[in-house]
Amino acid sequence: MTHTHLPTILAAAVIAISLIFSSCNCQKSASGTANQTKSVIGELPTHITFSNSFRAFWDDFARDTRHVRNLDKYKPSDDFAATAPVALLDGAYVVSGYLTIDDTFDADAFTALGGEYNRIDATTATFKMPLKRLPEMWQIRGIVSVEAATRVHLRKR
Amino acid sequence: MKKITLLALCIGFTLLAFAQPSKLTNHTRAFVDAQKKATTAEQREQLRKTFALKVADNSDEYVSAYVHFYSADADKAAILEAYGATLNNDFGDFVTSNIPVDAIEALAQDEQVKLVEMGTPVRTRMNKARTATNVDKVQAGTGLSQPFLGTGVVVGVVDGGFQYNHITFYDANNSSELRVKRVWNQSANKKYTTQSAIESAQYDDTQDDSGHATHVTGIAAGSYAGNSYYGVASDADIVMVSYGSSNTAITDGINYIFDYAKSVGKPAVVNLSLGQHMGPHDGTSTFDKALDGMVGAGRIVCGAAGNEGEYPLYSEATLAAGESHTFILDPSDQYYSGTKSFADFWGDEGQKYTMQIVYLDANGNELAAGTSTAVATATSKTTSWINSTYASGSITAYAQMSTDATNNRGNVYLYFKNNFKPKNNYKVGFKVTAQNAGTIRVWGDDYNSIYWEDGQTTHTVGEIGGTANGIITVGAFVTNRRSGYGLTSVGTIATFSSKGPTSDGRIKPEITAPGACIASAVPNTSAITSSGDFDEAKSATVNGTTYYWGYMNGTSMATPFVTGVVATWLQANPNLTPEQIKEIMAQTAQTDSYTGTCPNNTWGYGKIDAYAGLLKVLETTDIKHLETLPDAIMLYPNPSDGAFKLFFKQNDNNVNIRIYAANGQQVYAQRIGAVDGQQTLDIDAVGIASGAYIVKIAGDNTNTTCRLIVR
Repeated sequence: MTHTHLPTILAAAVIAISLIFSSCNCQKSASGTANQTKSVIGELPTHITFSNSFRAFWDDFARDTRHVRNLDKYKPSDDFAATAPVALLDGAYVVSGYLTIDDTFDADAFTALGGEYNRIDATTATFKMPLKRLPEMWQIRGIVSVEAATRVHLRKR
Repeated sequence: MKKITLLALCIGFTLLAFAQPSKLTNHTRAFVDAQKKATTAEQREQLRKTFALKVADNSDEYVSAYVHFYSADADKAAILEAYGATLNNDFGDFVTSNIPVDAIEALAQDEQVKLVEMGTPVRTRMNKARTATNVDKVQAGTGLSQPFLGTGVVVGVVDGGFQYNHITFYDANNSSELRVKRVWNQSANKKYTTQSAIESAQYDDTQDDSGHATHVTGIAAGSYAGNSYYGVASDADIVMVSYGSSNTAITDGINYIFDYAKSVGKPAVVNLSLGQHMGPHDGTSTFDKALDGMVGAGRIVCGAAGNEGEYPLYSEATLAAGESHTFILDPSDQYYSGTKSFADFWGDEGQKYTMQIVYLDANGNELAAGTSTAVATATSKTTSWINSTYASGSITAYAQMSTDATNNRGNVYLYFKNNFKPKNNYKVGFKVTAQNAGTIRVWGDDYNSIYWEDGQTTHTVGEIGGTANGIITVGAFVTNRRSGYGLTSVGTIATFSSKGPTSDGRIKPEITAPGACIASAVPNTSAITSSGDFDEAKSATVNGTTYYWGYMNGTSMATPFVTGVVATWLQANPNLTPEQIKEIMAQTAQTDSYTGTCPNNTWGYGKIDAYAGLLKVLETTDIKHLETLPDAIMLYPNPSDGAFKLFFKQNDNNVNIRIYAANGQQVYAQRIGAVDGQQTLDIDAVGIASGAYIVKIAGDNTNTTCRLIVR
């Protein structure tokens, strides 16, 4: 390489570096835009039916996570946890409800996410799922519908 | 010398006299001494209260006593007659007798009499709830072959606020044996399966300030007899599930209890003093369908009707196609909303309707309206239903037709948030327009006082405790009143007791039980004892630990009463189904001027009658079909018309049967001879007069007596 090629090389390097930085900026911009317009938990899928109460819970969950980029570090707000079907069990926040499943239900994948389920009959089960893994639950085969647990009160007058 | 000899003999005889064992028990001696000193009418009256002293028709005083003889072959009737005493029942070497007060000592000195044991008074220490429902007769085994205390039955309680080792949960006859066999603390995710682990855990939440679960379990199955606040099935095994506050947790809790009962081969009855009002109230919710799948023979669930009997949280409108109705929130109660609450609308099966929010002035004139939400096959959601001119906070409407083929009802769930509230004197309503004819129903959030201007107190039995087909739903009536509780008269329905029907038209509750000012066990935590809500009934210190009992109100208290009664019925027939139990209630519940004609949607079949129900169970029990065999010998049916059966669990030889009347007369005798194990014999004593009898069954391996009632 002669000194006559050096400017070319330098120019190419500058251009390349500039391209790299601008690409990063775009990605930041894009992800920043995504954070501003799209919750980290995403939308509920259309291939599963959700109860009205679950849809209400999901909207609250989305609102509570609107500034969250990584669910692994998410801690529910007191306001959200107070009325959501969420409980703190063994240090982890867990959401509970009923599942309707069919015979393709992938139980292994469900438990691999950290979920627990108890079958009531052939197609119905109670479930618990760590809150931070909940969005991944929609990828599991065989879930037909999801119903959020509802709070129940003591009947003391 | 003679004087010395005589003195020695006197001393000897005196010593001998002192050395003779008394032929009066201490209690009898105490009475004899006391009655000699009681010379005034008042003193005699006090004697009657303290001792089992009675007055005959001719004004002679007598006592009932056991008289023991040295030999069973003594001419007992003649001996007693010589002292003016009677022979009531002969049990071999002892008899029951009525003895004139002045003849007690003389009878005791008879050389053939070994001991005179005066009877001790048995006072009813039961509270009013047990006597009002005849639970006391069940527990005493009145006219029955045995008392019924839920022996061999599991009572399960899904609730919150347990003291696992309250003294009332120990065995009444063995104070070191804890009857709580399993505990599942769902919130802590812990299960305890041994007595030491349960005792070590002690509480599910030391900060719980109501102790609701302890109180409920004490009513169903408490056993501490040191006061009158013990429960119904005081010998039942207990399983406690400290619930995780949701309906799914309750479903899991019921499953846990039934699984344990199955593992030990026992029937089980579960108590749910819990509820809420989100859902269709027609038995088709997931919780209700799950419960219906879990109950069956020997698997019973009792649930609380609810405490909303006074509140207009339900409203409905029957609409023709194109017709509209506005459901207006009750503005008179400004407590509603909290931070989050709801209203839940349900249409008839297959019905379609739209809904929009409307704002009205104080006179009900519509001022503004929001956009409509269509409830059809597609799910839809409308936000921003608040016009800030008229209300604050927010409402989001979630609408969809259910995908459940058995429900197929259009549902609009209104979610109130951020302290939703009308401003000034404006009203907020929800205008529903039917696309096809049907009835639209709505339930408000009872926990946050969401009520309706045109609301009703009917249809207020709640989900969880009140709507499943397979659950036994319990309302509350008043047997006790205390100031500050705002209760109506004894015998009336508690005004808070929720009413039926379900939205599919079933009568609810099934039955009512005492639920007002009921005293029962509570935890001994400082959260309880220092709580402003704690209304103490009693405390007791045993082995250095103080235990407490307190008063509570609600269908929460009525439900475990029925749970305990059902446990006693399951003891008699472990295979009873919910349908059979409901039928028994229908046939035996008490009705009166307060209940009116039953069944109805306030009282159900009426007031629970534990004793009449048990008699009905015993009448209809076929021993051969019992999965769990009874005691060694069982007599049934009882009462009978004189024809009854004897079931022998084990082999025996030289068996004979004698029946004695109350006056000791033998009215029937039969020599049986040899019996095989699990053999049932028919005894035909038809023709003996109605009354109470003692049946004595004796054999090489048997010597037992039981009572028989002949009708």
